[in-house]
Amino acid sequence: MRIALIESRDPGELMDAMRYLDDCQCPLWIGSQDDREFDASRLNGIAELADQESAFDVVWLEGDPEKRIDHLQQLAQLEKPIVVPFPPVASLGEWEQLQSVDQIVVSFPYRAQPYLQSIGERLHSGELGKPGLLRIHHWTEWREEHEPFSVLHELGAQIDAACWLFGDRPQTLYAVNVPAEGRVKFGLQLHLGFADGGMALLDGLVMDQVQPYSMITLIGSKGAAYADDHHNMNLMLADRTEAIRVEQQQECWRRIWQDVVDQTEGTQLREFDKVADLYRVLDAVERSYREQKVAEWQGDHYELV
Amino acid sequence: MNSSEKQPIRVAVLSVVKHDYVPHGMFSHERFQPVVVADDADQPDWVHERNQKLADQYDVPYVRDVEQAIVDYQPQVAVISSEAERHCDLSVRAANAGLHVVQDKPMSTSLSECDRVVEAVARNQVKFMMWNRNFLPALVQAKQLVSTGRIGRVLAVHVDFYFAKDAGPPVGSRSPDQPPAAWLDALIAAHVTGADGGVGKVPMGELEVEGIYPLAYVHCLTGARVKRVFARTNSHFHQLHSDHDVDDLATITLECEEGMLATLCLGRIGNASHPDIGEIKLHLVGTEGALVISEARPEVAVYYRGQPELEFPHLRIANQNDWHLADQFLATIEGRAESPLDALASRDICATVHAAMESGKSGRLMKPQPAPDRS
Repeated sequence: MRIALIESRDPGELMDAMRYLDDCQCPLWIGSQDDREFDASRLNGIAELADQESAFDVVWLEGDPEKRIDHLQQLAQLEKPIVVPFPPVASLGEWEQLQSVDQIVVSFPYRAQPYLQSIGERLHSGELGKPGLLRIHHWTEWREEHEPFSVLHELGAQIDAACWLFGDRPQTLYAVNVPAEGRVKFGLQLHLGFADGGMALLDGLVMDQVQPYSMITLIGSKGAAYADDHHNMNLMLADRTEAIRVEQQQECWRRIWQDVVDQTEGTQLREFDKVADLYRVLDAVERSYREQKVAEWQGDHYELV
Repeated sequence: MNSSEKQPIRVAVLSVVKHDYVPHGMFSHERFQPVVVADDADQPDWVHERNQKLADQYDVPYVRDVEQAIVDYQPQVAVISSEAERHCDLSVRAANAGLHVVQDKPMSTSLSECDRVVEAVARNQVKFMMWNRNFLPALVQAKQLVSTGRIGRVLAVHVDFYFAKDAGPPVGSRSPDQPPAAWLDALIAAHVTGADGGVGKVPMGELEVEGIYPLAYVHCLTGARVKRVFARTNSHFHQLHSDHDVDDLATITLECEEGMLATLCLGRIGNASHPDIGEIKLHLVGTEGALVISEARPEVAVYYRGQPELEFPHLRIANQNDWHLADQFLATIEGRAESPLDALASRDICATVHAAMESGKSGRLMKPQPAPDRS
């Protein structure tokens, strides 16, 4: 599988992770990293990519979701699978514009995190029983590109993960902002209720000059799974004691590429409706915290109650 | 004069049907001395048996008349660990007799009963403390870090409070032709495993039985009052809870004063779900940083051949929670400190729990019922 990378934040890391798969390589890339050189040909734009159609099999499109719609519409002309990480575009309206573009595959990089993969595998194999409660803390370090903040960017992947683990959209949700004050640049607390009594609390936080932190707990009817950076850090004792993270990102990308290979070789390229559902959830979350009301699923839309 | 040279504080244990760790905890402090165990004569045999057992342990009399025991043995403090629905009545009677009160959780199954305690404690000018876990080493550390401003003003507190204990057979194990298990009988039987916090005639969910602990953490770390509550509750694990329509799993969002936010995850999630008592953690977010606190730490891991299945392999160490609670209550009685969890704060926690239970049933935002204005 030959993958062309477009607008990747770190093409080197992505290409490096391809080494783990026998049948995966990157012959072409398009990006704005001026000084970087990789073992792949650099192209200047999508028009140039079209001229090299025989040199790649799949396109991986990153960049700002707010600006992807144009790229996706251009790439649609190539008739090759286009893999785009969730969220693929800025809104449900934009996504609906792409309904006829059959070759789009949505990838879920957050689901590919090794800890989440392990939890998902154990849950979906039935070992943990019926999911009852999910708690996620997802704290990230503030970067300029975070702004303007949105639910889509800061908690979209975690909302997707909750839906993936419970196997459905939430029936009810309630969102509350954490005040942006001091180092806290953005904070959103989301409470989800799923059919049959399932529940989730998702905590998205952006803090200035604070290292990222992640925790997931899944409580099932037969067992529970706990993944916590608190447990997965080592100590460095030098001038001062410091907790240090063990690298997991390469494994994450290996899984993403494996998924890209599996999905684009399969017959089902994407699940349009499921992605559309996620946008509806995200929209309801925005409305819930702005109006300070609970949102309930009413058969085809969320209603504030 | 050091504290051991001072006069002992005379303690009456008024009913001890579930958690004998409450009186044991008080008596871990050298100043508190048991003088009598007492209860009402009309209580059933199993209650008298448990009361007698504690009296025998401390070699003090067991008297089947609460008021007579108070007259005869002149206690200064009452320690109460009855069924939850009797807690407040015993507390009010003790307060009316001029005794300071240490009470087991939950405060009550009824908010109006909590209000009676608040009124009686104030009117009689006695002190009250709800038993809690706020002096566990990790909590003391968290409190120190917060109070010294290390993370700035607290904006959010998230508490996970899971007990990895079973409560009888799993949901779905009862066939339709079988009658539901009787609540009181099941909880009386659960005494041997210590999983009988909900013992009494009134069925109680995990939120009602254990919610006091995480809410007491939020109270101790922030003092913030709760304005609005949204909760999800479910009988996810145990047939007993399902049969009696009470929860064993809950998530709660609490909107507090000054924009502070708190969330709780809580449940009796089954023995298989954790090797120890359960994952109990706090995440605090402040204007200048954040804290991730494991309630169990410090601990020592011990594994050996033939280790009993239900023995926790991780042993909590350096834990002086009981002694510190007793010591703090002593300071409260002596007017040197405030109660770590007084009657009004305990009552407000109970109001928050009740609002959460209502929200769990209705799916709506709820406001905790404020205490009656006594001005």
